[in-house]
Amino acid sequence: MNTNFKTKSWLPLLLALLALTPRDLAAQGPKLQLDHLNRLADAASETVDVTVDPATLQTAGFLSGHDVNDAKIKALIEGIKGIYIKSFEFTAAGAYSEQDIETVRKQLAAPGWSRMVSVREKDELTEIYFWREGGQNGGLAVLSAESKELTIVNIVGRVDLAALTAMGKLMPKLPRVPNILK
Amino acid sequence: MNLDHELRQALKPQDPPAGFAEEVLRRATITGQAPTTPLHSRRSRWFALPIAASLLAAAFGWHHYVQRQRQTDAERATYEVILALHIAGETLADVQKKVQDKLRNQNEHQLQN
Repeated sequence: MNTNFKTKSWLPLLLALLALTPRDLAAQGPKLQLDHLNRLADAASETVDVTVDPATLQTAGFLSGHDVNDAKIKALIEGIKGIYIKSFEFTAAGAYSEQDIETVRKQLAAPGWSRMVSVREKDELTEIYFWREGGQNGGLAVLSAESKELTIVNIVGRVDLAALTAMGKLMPKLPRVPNILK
Repeated sequence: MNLDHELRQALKPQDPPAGFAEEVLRRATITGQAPTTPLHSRRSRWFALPIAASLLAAAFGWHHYVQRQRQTDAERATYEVILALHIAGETLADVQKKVQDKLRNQNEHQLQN
């Protein structure tokens, strides 16, 4: 009697969980879960952890657009909803495990992602994935793993690859922001 | 002659009516008296002025602080966005170079064979 009651009370919860799990996996979308890599910061000689969420993009919307580069950046970020970067440089090889990379690649094997580039060399793996949504480019993931360096770039939203690749030239135009990292 | 007489009568000095001086003095006393405002009202008037000034200064300071904070946030966000775009672009450029190098090596290898 008691067991029956327990089964009855748990049954809706179990059904709800079963119904939610596949939807959750499918709804993961173009944003990757990279938190498991945070522990690598302790071993890294240099860490770059950038999170640009929709709120940050909206706050940065003040870019005047008068300057040529400002206009380029404005056009580039127009379709972007988020930029998430984790990059680690180590003094010695073997600081990160194969499992660290596989956890990311497993997410990139989910429906919606398609691998466009894969270069595998000795101790090196470079891959580019695109997230397609309704036949349109809706996100990007770049995985670059070298013996002493690991970089993962995840962009959510529409990305203009050519414009993004040209962004390196804009580095001297970074605005002077005092105490930016404080 | 008649006119001269009438003028004399009209301009002849006359004594004031009885009680005139007392009435003048009474009225002068009433006009010179200070307004009868209650003491607590006068005090609150003296307190209200600095309080209003302080509130105004505080409101102005707060507005300035919020504006400044908003500007700093916007500058920081812009910096982060540009930094993120730069790193992403640089990583992509590296990948592009690697792919090009690999293709070149493959072509050279094929030509040698």
